[in-house]
Amino acid sequence: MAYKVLVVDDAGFMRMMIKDILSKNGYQVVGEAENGQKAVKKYQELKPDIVTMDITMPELDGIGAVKEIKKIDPNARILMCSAMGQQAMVIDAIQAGAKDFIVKPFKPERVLEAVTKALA
Amino acid sequence: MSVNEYLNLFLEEAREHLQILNDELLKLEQNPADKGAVDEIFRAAHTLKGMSATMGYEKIAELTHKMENILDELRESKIVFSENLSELLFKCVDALETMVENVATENSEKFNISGILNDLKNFNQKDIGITQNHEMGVNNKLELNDYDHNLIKVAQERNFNIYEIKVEIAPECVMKSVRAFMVFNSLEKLGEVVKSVPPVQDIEDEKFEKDFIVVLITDKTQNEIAKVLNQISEVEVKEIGSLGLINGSTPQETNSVQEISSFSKTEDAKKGINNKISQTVRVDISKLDKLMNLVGELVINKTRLEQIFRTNDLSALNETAEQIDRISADLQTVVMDVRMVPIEQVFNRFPRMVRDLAKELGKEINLIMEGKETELDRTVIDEIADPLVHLIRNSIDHGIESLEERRKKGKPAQGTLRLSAKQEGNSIIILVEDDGQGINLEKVKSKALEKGIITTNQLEQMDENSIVDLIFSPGFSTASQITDISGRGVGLDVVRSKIQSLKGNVAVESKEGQGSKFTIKLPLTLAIIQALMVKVGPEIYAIPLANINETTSINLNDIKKVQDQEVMVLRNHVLPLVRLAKVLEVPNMDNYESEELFVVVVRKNNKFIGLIVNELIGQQEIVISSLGKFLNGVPGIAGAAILGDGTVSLILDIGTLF
Amino acid sequence: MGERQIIAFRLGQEEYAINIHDVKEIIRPTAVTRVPRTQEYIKGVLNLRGVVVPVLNLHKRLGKSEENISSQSRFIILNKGDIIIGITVDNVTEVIRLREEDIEVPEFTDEVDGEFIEGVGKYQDRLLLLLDIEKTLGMEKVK
Repeated sequence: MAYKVLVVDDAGFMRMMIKDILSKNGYQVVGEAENGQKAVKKYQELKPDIVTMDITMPELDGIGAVKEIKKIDPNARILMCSAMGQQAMVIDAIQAGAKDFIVKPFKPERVLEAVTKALA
Repeated sequence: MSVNEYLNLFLEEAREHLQILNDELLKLEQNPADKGAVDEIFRAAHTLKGMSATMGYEKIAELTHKMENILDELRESKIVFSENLSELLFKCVDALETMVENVATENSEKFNISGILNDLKNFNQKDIGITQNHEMGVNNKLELNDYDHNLIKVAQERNFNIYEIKVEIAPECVMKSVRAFMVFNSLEKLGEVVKSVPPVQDIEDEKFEKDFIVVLITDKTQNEIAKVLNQISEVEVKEIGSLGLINGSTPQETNSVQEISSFSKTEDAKKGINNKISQTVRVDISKLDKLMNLVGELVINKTRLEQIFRTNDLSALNETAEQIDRISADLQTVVMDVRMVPIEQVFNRFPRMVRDLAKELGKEINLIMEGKETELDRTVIDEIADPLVHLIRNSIDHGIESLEERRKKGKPAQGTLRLSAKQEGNSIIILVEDDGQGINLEKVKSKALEKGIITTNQLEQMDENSIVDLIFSPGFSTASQITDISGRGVGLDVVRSKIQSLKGNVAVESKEGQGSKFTIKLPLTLAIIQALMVKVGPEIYAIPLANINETTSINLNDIKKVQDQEVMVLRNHVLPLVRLAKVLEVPNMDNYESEELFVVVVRKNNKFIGLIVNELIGQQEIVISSLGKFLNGVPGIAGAAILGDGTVSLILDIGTLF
Repeated sequence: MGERQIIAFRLGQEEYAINIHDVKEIIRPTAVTRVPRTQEYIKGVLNLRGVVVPVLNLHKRLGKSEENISSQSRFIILNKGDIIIGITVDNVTEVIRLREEDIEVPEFTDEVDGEFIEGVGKYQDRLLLLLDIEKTLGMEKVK
């Protein structure tokens, strides 16, 4: 059975891009969210195997969402999608429990590598 | 996968974000204090940047990136929103709009952004002081100081593995520092990272090429380490090798650095040329102005001296001499001042360390830091970090109790760790206080007896303070496992010896059940110290005040002998005596025999020893000069000082004197 | 062949010389503080305008009789590599331009100070012993 993925990003364009990469490579994108709060809710509903999480988002940002999700499920696997120059935030996210990170603009290979490693 | 599939979606969203940019900029113009608007603008620019970079529209990405830099400054209130800035940002938005529309019609940005980038750059430099002042050097050589040596030696004695691990980060990685952070994070779960090349701070600041070296003390095997590290993306373990036996050379010979040549596999480490990063100090320009003024005054007075020489006017000579005296004193003060840096540099790394440790141990800790602005000599700052880390870890691990325990005792669940620095006269006092369980006297006693540090007889004569002080004794360590936080299995004796090498001292006070307080006292600067000047026969020596406990006088008849060792009785305690004239081989002492002698009681490794001298001259501030390379490392001599009359006096080094 | 500039000085009965490039300055003897636990030929340290400089007793170093202190006595302050050090001499005679061809490297058989001499210079009717400073200071050992 294919791994279930939840894609979180405030830009529909980015969501579509990630969804495309993953679904072409055998993953099943079971849900999308455009902010942290919705991401937490969707996580509870869908129980995905992995989450790709943007950092800068309205309502609740990616780091806040990681913290919330980790409270619900300490074993949650979350992959941060960061932009350049967000080193400090990525570190915060990893301390909060994120497994790995990728940096925009990303190459499909990098996304797949990170997802595979995080699921290993 | 073609980007064209996304083009329409991209254009749609890009236009939306441009709209937000325009709207929010207008809002901001109306109300420059509107933080919400700044956040919105930032987010819109940021999202646009990510999208366009992914689509390969590099000019849009670059422009939004540069905008972000300025917006970030604005968000952090480092700059204020001005009419100029508003103009500039609108100009940027216009340029973005043009580019996005060009993409829509011709599938290309078709726009020259160099002009506007230049405007952004100029704005940045004009309004934000950009400081770039770090000298970088590729330094692949592992240098260990005394402190590291001690740690490693003890770890070796306890059969822990000491590995030198070379980690390489993939060249395409864009956030090297974060990968490095993940490496450190993982390693710290396996053991104790004692050293890295380049230093952690530089790695955090991404001041390394592609690889770095970490020294780890652990009970894990090489395979276990490699397995954990290889789970991290974009990270490759190049080498893991045992750090060979560090030979037991004496501290004098080791000086402060030693090259580890036994790292079996690292070619680079051997080849590594020592491009030692020269120490630099960032200086407040006003201090330099002061220096210039003083030098100016000096030149004026020099001219006056030449005039006096021609006119023979003695009263003017006196006046000029006084002037020069004042100027040189001021010069000294300012030059010393230039060497001073705020302790903030060291303190800044503690909040995260405390947070991580507390989390790891399941404790809640409130870290209070005071006196971050307190200034210390640059050389002291570099050396004080390690001992402080040790004390803080010690407090968190052994001092502050677990949540349940604190609840049981009726204490607030959150423990408090207070770190403070302040200046007192010519000293800097650093306190590390916690409201934990304090030090258990009975435990200390039994441990000290068990380890053979003291005998039951000695113990009976000791007061509470002296007993608590035993925790600083070599060989006394409350940590039984290396994996202990404060652990490394190394005791506080390393902390004390480090601080003593800085001409300072460390003491502990503890109230059982209420907490403990470590007090570090350091001289303001290493270059100037308070010393007691003494006369030994015809010669004058300086003894650093930091080493002195008290002085007393003695009559020749009161010197007793116990098994060839001269001693005296001081307040019911037997104090061993050392004749300075003898250890310093002072010639012609026959002419200086007298009934009345003086004793300077100094402390060396927890023991008090009385130094017999002929005369106490008095306390004095002295500037330490080196004896030069030719006479370096004379045992018992820490350096020389030039006295008021121009003669040179030697400064005794109690640690190596006898 | 070139020539070299040397400073000639007296030490006991002999006349020695050193390369002028190694000389920082020449001063009259001032107060020297003895440094305990050093070699016997270390006279001590002095204050050279705020810098602490060691002084080597050249008489003792070369196995001569005691220093012959007079109004002619001088300290020659040398600057060799990154070491600044003074040496004691009885009398500085003069600065001489010595032609390289007038320098001979004799074979010292059992002379006491042979190991510190790099050559002998002939100047008019005088013989100048050219001092090997690195060896005299024991700089190989310092390194």
